Formats: sequence, C-alpha cells, structure tokens
Amino acid sequence: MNFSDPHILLSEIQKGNHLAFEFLFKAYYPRLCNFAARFVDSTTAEDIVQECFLKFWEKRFSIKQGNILSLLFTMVRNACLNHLKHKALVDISSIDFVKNLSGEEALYALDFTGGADYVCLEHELAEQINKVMNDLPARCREVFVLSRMDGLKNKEIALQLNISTTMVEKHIAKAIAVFSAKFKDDIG
Amino acid sequence: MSTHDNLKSLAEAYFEGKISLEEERQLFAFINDNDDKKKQFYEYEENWKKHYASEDTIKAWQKVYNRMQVA
Repeated sequence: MNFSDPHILLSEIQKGNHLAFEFLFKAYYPRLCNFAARFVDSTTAEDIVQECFLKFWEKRFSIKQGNILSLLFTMVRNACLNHLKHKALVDISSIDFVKNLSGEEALYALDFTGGADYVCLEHELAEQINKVMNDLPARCREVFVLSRMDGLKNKEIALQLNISTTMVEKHIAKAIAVFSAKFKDDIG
Repeated sequence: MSTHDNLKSLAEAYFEGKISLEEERQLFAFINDNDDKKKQFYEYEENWKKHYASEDTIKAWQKVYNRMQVA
C-alpha cells in the first residue's frame, strides 16, 4: 500500500492500521523533535512529540482529509508554546532565549503548511505575553517587569518603588494569578 | 560538493532531525531558489521516508505503540 499518498495514509490510520501510523511516525518524528528542541530541551521535545502522535491517534476519527502534516506540526508547535507559557509563569525571563534563535522556522512551515499565514512561535509567544502584561494594573506590571524581566530582588524593587516588600510580593502574586488565568485553558 | 549533493545532504539532515540552524537557512534558501529544487527536495523526502528510520526513532515508536495498546 502506498502510504506516501496522504489521503490513503489518513484513511488507513482512521481504519486503525498501525502500519500506516508507524509510517507517519517514522517519517516525521525526527524532524518534529528537532523543531521542538529549539524551544525546549531535547528530552522534553521527544516527550512532547510522542504525546502529540498519541493525541493524533486518539483523535484520528475526527481528523478531516487535508494536510495531516500541517496538523502534526501545529500540535507540536502549540504544545511547545504551552510548555513555554507554563515556564513563563515561574520565570518569564526564561523564555528570552526564544528571541535569540536564528534558524529557519519558516522551513518547517513551508514543509508542513505551505508557509501561508505563518506566524513564528517566538512572535506569537511574545504577543500573548505582552497582551497579558498590558492587562495588568500599571503598578502590578511595573513590579512584575522589574522582578521577572530585569531580575531584581523583592527588596530592591521595594526600595526602587518606595513600597514595602509585602506589597511587592502581592503585586507579583497578582500578576502570576492573571497569567495563570489567561494561559490556563491553553496549558490545561 | 555540487549544489545537487549539498541539497541532498541538507535535506537528509533535515528529515533525520539533525540539521543545524545555519543549515536550515541554507536549505530554505535552496528550496526557495526555484521549483526544480523544491521538487527535488520532495523526491528526496519520498525516497527517505520509504527506507530510513534511526534506532532512536524505532525505540520512540515502540514506546508510542505500547501506549497505543494500553489506551
């Protein structure tokens, strides 16, 4: 059977043909891992990609004919994004490295999606974080930026803004709560 | 190395998940250079898919396959 034909491939996967799914997995697992590993460590990347394939298998009956590679790519990309968002809740500066990547993420977009309307993950993540940041009350945002982006200690922030360390802690807790609420649905 | 060989080796590194960020840029430039090279890239891919799977990929597949049986 010619699994290289994407219609036959999906149709066979939907029939529960393990060989077809194995073909899909072996064909795209390595490059998807390499793609994910630019955003997360390589072990996490492998876990994310394996989970995405399992989800794909579980949801195979609801997948419509079309670009299944595009779907897999998007699943992995979103899982990485969610992982980074989760990390950002703990330490938002930890996502800064994403901005420094210089490869061709667009290559994967070309391969998987034809490149149309593609938004790089780093831009999407930055946009989502900025959106949440802009929703924070001014003082809360100021404290959060000093803490999580500039790396200042609570005491230093308290001195700089002439507020108590308890107030600093409250602002940070509030900011984290807002981020958690906004990202909860994606991460969950 | 000829352009043809270079495209092939970059493409295979990409399929195998071993391409570096710099090589990614080179490959992207090659593919976008003209339709013949893009077509060549997809031919390499079809051939690679039929014949290649690394030990790591086979191990990962076994893990996923075992979990599919449980689910």
